[in-house]
Amino acid sequence: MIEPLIILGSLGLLFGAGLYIASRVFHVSVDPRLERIESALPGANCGACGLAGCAGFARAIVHGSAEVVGCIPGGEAVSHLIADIMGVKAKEVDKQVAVLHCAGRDVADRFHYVGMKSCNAAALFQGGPKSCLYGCIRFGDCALACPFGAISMIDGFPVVDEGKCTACGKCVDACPKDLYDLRSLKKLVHVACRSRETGKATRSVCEVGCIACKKCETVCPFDAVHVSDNLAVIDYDKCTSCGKCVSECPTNTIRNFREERKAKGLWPVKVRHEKNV
Amino acid sequence: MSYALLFISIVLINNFVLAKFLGLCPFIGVSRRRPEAMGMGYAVIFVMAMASAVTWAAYFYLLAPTKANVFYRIMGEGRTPADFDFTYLQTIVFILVIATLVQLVEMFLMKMVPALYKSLGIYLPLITTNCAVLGVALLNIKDFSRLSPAESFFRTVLQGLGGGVGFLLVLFLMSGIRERLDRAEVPPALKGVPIAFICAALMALAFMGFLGLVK
Repeated sequence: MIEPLIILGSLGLLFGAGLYIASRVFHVSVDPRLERIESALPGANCGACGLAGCAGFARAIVHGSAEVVGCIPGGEAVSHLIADIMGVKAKEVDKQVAVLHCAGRDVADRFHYVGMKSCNAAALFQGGPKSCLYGCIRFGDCALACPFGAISMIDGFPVVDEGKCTACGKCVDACPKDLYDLRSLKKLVHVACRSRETGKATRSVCEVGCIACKKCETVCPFDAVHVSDNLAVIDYDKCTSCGKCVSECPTNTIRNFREERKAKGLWPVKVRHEKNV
Repeated sequence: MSYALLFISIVLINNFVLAKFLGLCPFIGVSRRRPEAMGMGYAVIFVMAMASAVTWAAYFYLLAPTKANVFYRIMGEGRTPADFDFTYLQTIVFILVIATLVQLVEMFLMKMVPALYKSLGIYLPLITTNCAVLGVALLNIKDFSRLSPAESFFRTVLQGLGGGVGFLLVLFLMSGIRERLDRAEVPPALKGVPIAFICAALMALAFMGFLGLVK
């Protein structure tokens, strides 16, 4: 029986040719920059730019509704690539990293927790098993959430690899205790505590928690540190990373990241000079 | 049955969505806002009418065991038209026709009405597998293949057009209802698609009333 083959074959050929002609007639040219920007982006589809995936971000740039520096994981390098494609000058990008505001490695458990090994699950039960209600629960939801492998659990405590961190903000969302903040790499001094308990209560559960002694507030020459609700908070608009509060802090709660970042070659932050386009 | 009666019957009484329950996916999927519903309706009218005409030609000249069959004309020496019965290829040939037409509509919309193309999104290529379109093609063959060629062609196209108009009508009515439903106080468990289906069922009941139009 050859007829069915002829029927389907000839119809297929006919329709194929018709569609080919139609695709020529109704051809829509796509902006060539769109493709180039898409290939310049990391392609992680992390959504840190606030748009639906890298393709959505590329479209928004071409339409002018997004800034060329919008890609946070891509950082400076990608911003410059996109700026070149779009023919505009990229503003200087302030590289940010995630900073953990807890150092309570030795905080004891209040009770024996046997549930799911997840910070978010544990936090739902009486605020988690740790004696400090403000501190790290140490199940590593942040390390799981990090798409770049920048957070690792070292001795059961999260450590941020600032070289790998792209400031996508996934850990900020993942932590039930809200212990992460995205801070500029240039800012070296951070308070490694979030406890708003009184000094005495904090001291009883954690060696390195903020006891609200206000020594930092007194010593700061720039009026950048203030103790409010029993916790030292740094105003990064004023802080110059001079490190005076670090040496004054009796509990070693305020820490200086200078040496650590210097060792990794992350500090001083290199400023790329803009070329004129 | 007069042409007017045929048209009214397929639009109101034998409506594809509310009487035959075909094409429910786009009916629920695209009936959220009126402009999109209208766009989808127009696209379906076009595809249904075109599909009816082209499938009729394909059936009449290629598949059906008639004297007009191309194979009978070429190789029919000493054989009867009944030897050239390829109606078993009906489904696959019709699907091919519909898929091609949908591609054509998609290209046309992308070029001429980009806003509509964007808002229809995935539902446009989905007309390919819209059972209402295949349904109208198969129904045409079932209803009219025994009539004379000119008569059956005209009725086929009319039924295809009417099917599309009926689809547009219920899609438009439904989108109006759903726009109001969005603002209504609906129990949380019924919010969204469930309440839409309940409304569709009530609409189907109402449309049954049109049965009284014909005796």
